[in-house]
Amino acid sequence: MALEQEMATYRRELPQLLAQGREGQFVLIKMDQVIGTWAVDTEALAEGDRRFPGQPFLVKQIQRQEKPLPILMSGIHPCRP
Amino acid sequence: MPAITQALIDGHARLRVKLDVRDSLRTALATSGMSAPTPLEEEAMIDTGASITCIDREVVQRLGLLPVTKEEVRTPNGPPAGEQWDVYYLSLRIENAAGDFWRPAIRAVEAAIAHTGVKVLLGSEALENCVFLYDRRGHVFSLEW
Repeated sequence: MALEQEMATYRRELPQLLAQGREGQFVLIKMDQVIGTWAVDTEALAEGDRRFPGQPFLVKQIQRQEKPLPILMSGIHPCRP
Repeated sequence: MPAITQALIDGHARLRVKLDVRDSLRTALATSGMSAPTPLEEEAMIDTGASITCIDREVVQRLGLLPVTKEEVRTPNGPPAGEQWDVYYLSLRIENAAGDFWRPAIRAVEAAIAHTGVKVLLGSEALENCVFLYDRRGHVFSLEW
């Protein structure tokens, strides 16, 4: 599954990132390594693309509580692998 | 401000858009001597009920997109709460003689949207700072940026 390792790293590092006052920032993670945090997602994305062009990496907003994104149109489902 | 005004199609605001890999990835691939996919031109529909843009699997495959993050998405009849959807970043362009609308990196989720008749549902995130006017009685819409 895509990004499974990176998501596991995020969940592992989340308490420490929150303790460092980084809530709301965007963390860049490659496999089990936290590369850094940035104020906006596009900055983290650009650094990920520069370091790992064409490779998977995770950019995730550091949040104590995840906020779901709404899609109100009916009949929309995620694609399955 | 650049703007487009078009007739509604079956009551929906549809328009032609160009989709590409996000700008920072295109730059990185070129710097690394790697080839990038050819941009796509597709018909999109504006979906003001969605915050995030939805793209069909064909768009993901043809642009060779890799997910960048995972987010929980809430839909009226969708998956149970807590399920994480793959989220992609891609660039979006609407060509216009007075000045293109261009976003170097918008977020999108891959979703089964074939029943809508388009491969792209443009959510409000992608259109922030735009003025969208929907005139159902006049059968037209306009988008200003």
